[in-house]
Amino acid sequence: MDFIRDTMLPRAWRWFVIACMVFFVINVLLIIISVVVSSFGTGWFTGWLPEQFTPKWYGEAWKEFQLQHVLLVTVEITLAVVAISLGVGVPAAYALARLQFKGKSLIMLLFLVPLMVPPITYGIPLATVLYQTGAGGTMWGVILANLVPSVPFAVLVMTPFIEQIDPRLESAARVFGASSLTTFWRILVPLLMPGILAAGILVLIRTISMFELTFLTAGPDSQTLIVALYYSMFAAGVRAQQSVDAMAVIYMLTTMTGLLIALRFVDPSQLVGRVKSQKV
Amino acid sequence: MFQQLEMKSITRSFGDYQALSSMNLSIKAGEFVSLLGPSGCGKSTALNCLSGLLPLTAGEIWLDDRRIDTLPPERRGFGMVFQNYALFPHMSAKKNIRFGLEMRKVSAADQSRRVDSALSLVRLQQHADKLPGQLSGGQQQRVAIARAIVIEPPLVLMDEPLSNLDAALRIEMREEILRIHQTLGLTTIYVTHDQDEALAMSDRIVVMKEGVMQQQGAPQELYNRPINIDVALFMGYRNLLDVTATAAPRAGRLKVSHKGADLDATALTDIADGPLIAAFKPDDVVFSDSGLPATVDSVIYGGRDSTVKLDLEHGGQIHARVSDAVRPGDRVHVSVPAEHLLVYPRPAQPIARP
Amino acid sequence: MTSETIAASTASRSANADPSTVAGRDLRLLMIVPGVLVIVGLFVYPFIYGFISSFNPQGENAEWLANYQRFFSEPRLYETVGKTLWLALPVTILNVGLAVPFAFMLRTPSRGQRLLSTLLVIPMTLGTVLVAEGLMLYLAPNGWLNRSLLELGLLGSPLRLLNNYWGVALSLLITGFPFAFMMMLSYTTGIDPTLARAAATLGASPMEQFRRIYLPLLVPGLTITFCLTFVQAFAVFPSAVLLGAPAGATRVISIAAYEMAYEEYNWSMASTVAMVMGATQLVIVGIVLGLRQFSYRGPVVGGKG
Repeated sequence: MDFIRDTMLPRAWRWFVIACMVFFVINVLLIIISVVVSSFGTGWFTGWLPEQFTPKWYGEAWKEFQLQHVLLVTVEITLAVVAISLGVGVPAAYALARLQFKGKSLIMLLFLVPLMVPPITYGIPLATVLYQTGAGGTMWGVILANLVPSVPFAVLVMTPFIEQIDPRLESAARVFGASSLTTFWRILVPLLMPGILAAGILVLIRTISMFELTFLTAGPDSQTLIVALYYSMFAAGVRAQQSVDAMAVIYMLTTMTGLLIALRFVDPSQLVGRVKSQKV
Repeated sequence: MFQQLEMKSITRSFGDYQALSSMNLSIKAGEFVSLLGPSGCGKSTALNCLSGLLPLTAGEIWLDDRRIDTLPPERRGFGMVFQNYALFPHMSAKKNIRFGLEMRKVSAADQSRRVDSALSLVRLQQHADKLPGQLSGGQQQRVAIARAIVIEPPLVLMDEPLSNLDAALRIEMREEILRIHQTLGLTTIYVTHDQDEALAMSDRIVVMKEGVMQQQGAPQELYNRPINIDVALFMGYRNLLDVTATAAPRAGRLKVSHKGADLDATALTDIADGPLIAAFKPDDVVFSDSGLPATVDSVIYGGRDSTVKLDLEHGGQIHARVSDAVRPGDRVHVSVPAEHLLVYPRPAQPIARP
Repeated sequence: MTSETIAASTASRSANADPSTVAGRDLRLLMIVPGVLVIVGLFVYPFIYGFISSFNPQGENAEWLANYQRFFSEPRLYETVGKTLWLALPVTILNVGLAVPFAFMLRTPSRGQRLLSTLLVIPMTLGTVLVAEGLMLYLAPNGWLNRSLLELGLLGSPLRLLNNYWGVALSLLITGFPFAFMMMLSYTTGIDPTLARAAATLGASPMEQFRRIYLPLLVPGLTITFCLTFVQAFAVFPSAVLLGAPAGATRVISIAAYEMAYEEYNWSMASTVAMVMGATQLVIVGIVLGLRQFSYRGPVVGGKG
C-alpha cells in the first residue's frame, strides 16, 4: 500500500525537518554562488555584491594559471583513468557477479577496502612507492594512484547492472557456438552499455575531483585542475582572489556537467546504498 | 466491550480515484464478518480506514456512542493481523506478543500471565524465545494472531492473513482462527479474496467491487441468492447464458428463452425489459430426459463427481459437476432447477470473470 | 527452442566439455586477475611497504622503533591525533545524529525526496577544495553569512569563522552530512513500513514506534554510516589547511604526514604518521563495530513478503 498514511509523522516535526534541510541546501548553494559572484566582481570589500562586474578574471586566470595546459593534463589523466578502470573493472565485476569461487568474499573485501579507507591514509605510502619506481611526479604516477579507488568503484557500479542481465542469454550464445570471449564482446558489452556509461561518467567525476591522491603524486607538469586550484588558494595574496575564483568556477562547471549527465543514468541514493549493502 | 460498530458512509479517495465509496456497515459484538472481493475492490482500504492507518475522506465510524474515526491508530486499540505478519524481526515471539501490553502499561506480572496464555492459545509455548526469522510461516502467523489478541481488543482486523501460506496450512489455520475467535468471543473483521475461506468462516460476508459494497448477508444467503451478476460470479455461478424474457419480467419465477429454448428461471429483484443473463452453478446442472440437448466435450474425473464441459446445441458452453458417468462425445440433455437458474439484467460491457 | 531447453542443454554441455573450462576450472575467473593486480600492486603492497619502512628509520644507527618514539615524544606530532579527533568525532556525531531523524522523517518516497538527494550530492561531488574556496568567501567577516546575521540584528560584530576550528568543522559538516544522510536514507527506506503500522495498532505512539522499532533495526546501518563518515572526517586535509589554523588548532594528522614527506623528505617518518593515522581510524571503527555486537543484526522485514 503506497498510499497508506505514514502513521508516525507528526506534521510539525516533518515541517521542521524539511525547513532544516532547505536551510542546509540554501547555505550550500549560497557558498557556491559566492564563488561565482566573486569571480565576476571587480572588488568586493563591503556591500552585498561587488561594486562592478567584469569577465576579465577568466582571461587572467587562463593566462596566469596556464589553464590550457592544466586542462589538457586533466583531460588526459581523467580519460586514461576512466579507460583503464573500465577495462579492468568491468571484467572483474562480471566475474564477481556471475561466478562462485573460493575466496570470493576476500576479493570482495579487497575491492571494498580502498573505497572506505580515505586516500590520504594510503596516499603517502603509495606516493613513496611511486617515487621510488620513478613514476612519482609524472602523469603515469597520477594515473596509477587514481586507479586505486577508481577500479573498485567501477566494479561496484557495474555489479548490479550485470546481475540484471539474464544469464540464460549468455548460455544461449554459447550453445550457438560462441566462445566466452565472443560472448563477452558481442552479447554482454552491448547490453551493459548503459552501465558502462554510468560507471565511466562516475569515475570521470571522481577523478576530476580527486584531490588528495593527485596532490601527493603529481609533479609540476602533471597537476590536474583541482590540485592547481589548491595551490593557487594556498598561495593566496600572490594573485587576485577573483582569478582564483574564476578558476574555481571553471572547475565547478566541469564537474557539474559530469554530474548532470551521470544523474540521468543513476540514482545517487542507490549508489550510496550499494556501498552499505556490502558486508564490512 | 461494545455493542455495535457502525460505519456511516465511509469514503476514501486517492486524488480522483475512489478506493472506497460511501460504505455503510454495522457489526455486532461477537460477529465474524468477511470482506470479500478481488484485489483492488476496496476491502483492504476499508480495513485500513477502520484501523486508523488510513484517514477517511468522508464519513464517520462509531463504536457505540463514541466516534473513533478521528483517533490515530494507537488510540483505537484494535488488534490487527497483517498479510505479511509484520512481526518485529528483532524481538522474540514472546516479546512481540508482549509489545502491545507494554504500550498499555500493563503491570509486569499481568504481562507475563497474559503472554503465557496467549502463547498457549496459539500453541507456541516451546517457541516463545525464538526470533521471527527462526519460525515457519504458520508459526509466524500464530505469533501475529497472538500479538493482536493479547491486548483483548474490541475488534480484531485481519488483512488476508492466510494468503502467504500453502494450501494445506491454510485450511488448518482457518480452523485455528475460528477456534480462537470462538474461545475468546472476539469480534473479527476478515479481509479475503478467497470465497471458500469467506464461506467457511464467516457469520456474515460483505462482497465488494470497485470500492462499492455489493451485498452483505449470511454465507447461505449470498451463496443461494446473489443480488447481482458480479456477486453471482464471485459465488461460483460460472455458467452464463444470454436470455430474453418471454413475458413481462418481474421479481420471482419467470420464463426466459435461450436461442429459442424455453427455460424456467428466478429473478431475485425486479428487472426491467431488455437483454438478460442467466447464471447457474456447475453443481446445479442435472442430466435429464428433457431439457437442453448438449454434447459432452471433456470430462475431468474428480472422485465423487466429475466436472464435465458441455457444448450446448443451441450454442454456448457450460460446466457441470455431476456424478453420472459420461464420456466425451456422449449426447445428453441438461436442465437446471428454476430456483437455481438466476436471471439478471445483462451488463453493457463484457463480463470479466473473477 | 525454449529458454528452458537452452538452459538445460548448456548445463549438460558445461558438465562435459565446456570450451571455457580447463581441468574443471572456469577460465572466466581470469577476468578478475587484472583488477586484483591493480589493488594488490597499488594498495596492498604500498601499505605493507609503508608499514615495514616505518620500522626502518632514515639516518645512521637508528633504533627500529625510533620513528614511533619520535612521534609520541614530539608534541607537534602526537598532538595531531587529539586535534584531529577533536574535529572528527564531534562533527561525525553531529552529522550522523542529524542524519538519522532527518532520513526517518523523509523516508517516504516523493518528488521532494528525490530533488533533495540530487541537491545534496552537489557538495559531495564538488569536493573539499571547492567547498573550502566557497566558505572562504561565505564565512568571511564581510561574507554573506555574517552580513545577514548583522542585518537581522542577531549579532553585534561579525563571527570569526575562518582560520580556526569552526571553519574546518563547518566544511566537514557540509561535505559529511549529505553522505551520512544518503546512507541513512537508504537504510531507513529498507525497513518494512508495516512494522511501524503494526506497532501503531498495538498502541505505540510515533515516538515509541521510532524508539522501539526503527531505532533497534537501524543500529547496524548506523554503525557503518558512523564509521565511514568518521574515517572521512579523520582524514581531513585541504580544508584544515585553507580554512583552519594549520599551525595551531587544526594541525591535523594528515598535515603532519604531508610535512614529513614533502618538507622533511623523511618518507619513512611520513609512513609512520600514516600508520598511526590508519591505526587510530581502526581503533575507533573497532570500538564502534564492537558496540554493534550488542544489537540485533538480521533481516529488517516483518515476515514473508
